[in-house]
Amino acid sequence: MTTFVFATGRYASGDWDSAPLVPPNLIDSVARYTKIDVAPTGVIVDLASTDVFDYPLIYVTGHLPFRFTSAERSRVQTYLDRGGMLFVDDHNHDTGGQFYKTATEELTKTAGRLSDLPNDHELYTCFFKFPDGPPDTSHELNGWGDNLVHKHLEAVTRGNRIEVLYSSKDYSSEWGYHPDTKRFLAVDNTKFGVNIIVYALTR
Amino acid sequence: MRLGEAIAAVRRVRAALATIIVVQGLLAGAAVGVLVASVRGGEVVAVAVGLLAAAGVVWRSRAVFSLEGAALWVEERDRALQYALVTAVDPRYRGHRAPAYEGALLRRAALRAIGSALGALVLAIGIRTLAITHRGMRFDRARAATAPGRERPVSRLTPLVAHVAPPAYSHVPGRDVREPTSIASLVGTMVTLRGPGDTAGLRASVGARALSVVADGDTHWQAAVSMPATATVVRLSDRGTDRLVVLSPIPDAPPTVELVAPARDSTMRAAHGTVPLVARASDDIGLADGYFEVIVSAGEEETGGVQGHTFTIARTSFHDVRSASLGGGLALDSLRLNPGDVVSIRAVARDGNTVSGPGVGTSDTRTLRVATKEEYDSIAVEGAPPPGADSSYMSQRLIVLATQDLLRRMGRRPPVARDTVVKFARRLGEREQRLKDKVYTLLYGGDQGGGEAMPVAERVLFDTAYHAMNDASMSLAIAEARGALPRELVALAALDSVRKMQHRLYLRGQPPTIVVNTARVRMTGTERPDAGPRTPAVPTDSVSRRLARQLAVIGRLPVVAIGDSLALMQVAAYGVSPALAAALGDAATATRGGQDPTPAMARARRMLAGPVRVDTGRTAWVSP
Repeated sequence: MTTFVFATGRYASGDWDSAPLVPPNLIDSVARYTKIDVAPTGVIVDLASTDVFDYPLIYVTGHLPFRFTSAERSRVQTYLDRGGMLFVDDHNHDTGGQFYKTATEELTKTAGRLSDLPNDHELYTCFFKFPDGPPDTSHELNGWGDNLVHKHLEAVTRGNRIEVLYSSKDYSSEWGYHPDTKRFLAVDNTKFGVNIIVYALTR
Repeated sequence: MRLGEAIAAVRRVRAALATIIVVQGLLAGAAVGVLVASVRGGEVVAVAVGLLAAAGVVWRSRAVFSLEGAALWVEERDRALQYALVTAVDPRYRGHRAPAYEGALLRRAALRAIGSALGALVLAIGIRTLAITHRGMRFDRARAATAPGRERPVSRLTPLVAHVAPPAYSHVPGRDVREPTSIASLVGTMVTLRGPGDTAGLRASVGARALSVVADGDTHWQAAVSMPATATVVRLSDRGTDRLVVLSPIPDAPPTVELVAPARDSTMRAAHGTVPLVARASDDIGLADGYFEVIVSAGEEETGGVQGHTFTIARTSFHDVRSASLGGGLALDSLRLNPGDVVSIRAVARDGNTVSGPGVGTSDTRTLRVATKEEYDSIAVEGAPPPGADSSYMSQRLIVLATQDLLRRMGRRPPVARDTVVKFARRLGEREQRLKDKVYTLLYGGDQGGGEAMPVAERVLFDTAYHAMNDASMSLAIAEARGALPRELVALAALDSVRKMQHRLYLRGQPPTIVVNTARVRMTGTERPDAGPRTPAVPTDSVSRRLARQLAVIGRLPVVAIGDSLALMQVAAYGVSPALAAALGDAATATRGGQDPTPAMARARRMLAGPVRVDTGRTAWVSP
């Protein structure tokens, strides 16, 4: 069994590196709660390169317009065909914003139409239990962005497998802190991140 | 002759006659069967008809199987007996003297009956031999007509010539490929296969789709197919003989575009002047046009989200050149940018692909940002906890959501029990009470006095929120959720207004490199998961494994038998790796050309096996 390496996707447009603290924070959570053999640092992987095939899960985020180049689109399509999973989080948590508009258009063109993921999907029960679906984020509750508390995540599925998981909840802000800060939290808000990783590795 | 002797003699005659008739019947049946087989019908039909004929012959002569019948048969052939023999064997006339008769009668009868049947059989065999000979001659004539050098070849699938005509936009001239095994060309290329002979019974297909085979003059046929986007195989069939031709599409790569200027992302103090834009583009076939695409993004996520508009500038036609430069300028003044706005610029080029395109290539995106005033003199800023207004707003919003949820549950049928409503509302009231106390602390300080210094306008809003929270908590304490909600919303709106009056500063810089000490934190989490064991995911890409299995199987077969299999594997391999497909194609070509395919097959085998993996002995991970 190989070591799990958390990969952040780099794309040509926009600000792909807007949440640099999310990878170490989730790596820390994976080590805290599971026996998954996880690498201590994440990697940045160019979405147009063949390196993507080394990683079962790729995390993508940003605020600015999100567009694939032709090479990125083709590579991501092959990556998804081969069983990879893309987790795209809108750092704006904003369904009317530039990232949402461009990302959903691009992902539809690349992988297929996004639709609401039912809140009883196994993503919400595969490790920690989230009976009400995706946990709310403080940025949603703050009323920033579109001032909505999103009840569902969106996804492109193939059969019963999630290929692309799209979040408008801004987990990139929610989980964007140094992992050592976690000890001050009454409730660890990265638990859902562990679910995403466990799901990606075992779906 | 005595009576006893006469009866014994008639019995011998009867036995002899029975034997003769059976033999005659068998011979006659055989003759009929051979005739039937010669004219039409299979072996089963011929045997059945022959048996029927044999039975008929025996049935026709059934009278001789009785003693009287046998005696009469002798009497008919020897009139001198004057019915003495019949009378002798008749029980009514026993005691009379039995006449003598000649055994030569039997020999003549046997000769006549068996001889005629034997003659019929010989005649039938003769006819049968003639029929077979005639068919053989027809078959030989047909073979001779299709032999090389004659008017019709043995197979109309050879010699085969493919005319390959790439799409017009590529400006590549057409070419002929003789005896093609695999044809590689641009998507949309028209491939015309041409061979000798007429079109009768000739079939061509691509997958399940039949191709139209038409006559090319009086002496040749042809079938045309357009090069598809994915590799496939053309199957030509002629009288049970197949021939495969692999179509290997060469995709038209989209243009490659490099944005030369601006060279890097920038932050501007003021958005004035013109930004020079320069890009280089190249394409494997030819460029059609290019332009710069600009997106102006404005706003912040806290204040209504990031909005923007897109436009293009400096659109230029390239007239099918393979490489070109694109230039222009972006007048910033015309954009009327405000502090915090972001301009995203990229260059776009399109090729002239009119078949599956146009292919669109894009450069990296550069961003130009207009700085906000707060950024001018900031060098290092320590992270601070969230402002009091922020955390209060979040908590108040949670209370509002919970109250709305409680009201929804109360409105359902059947309604939630009153005790539950009271318990839930009181819990919410306690939370509202605690939040109200926090706001009070912000305003007036704690036991030691104090309180935050804040502008009067903010203080007024906090005060409004405080009183609204107080009203809401009292309503919730008596389970009046409907009365509490409006006051909760007033508090929420007041806190939101406070937040909007406060200024925030966001800085981006080099993020720290964090190496997680996974060994130290391993399994120290305080939260408890609730899940059973799960099995690791397997890649869905099974084509490689299937090809590896197939390659292992055909590696054990004779070389002459694996050409078509390798061609089909080549088509499947295009979805995995073009290099693997090329190796399998080389193996197929070598096989068809009578050469050794082993090196190419070994190359394919190595590609399928992948890099050598070393087992590190690590324990497989499992969920707790």
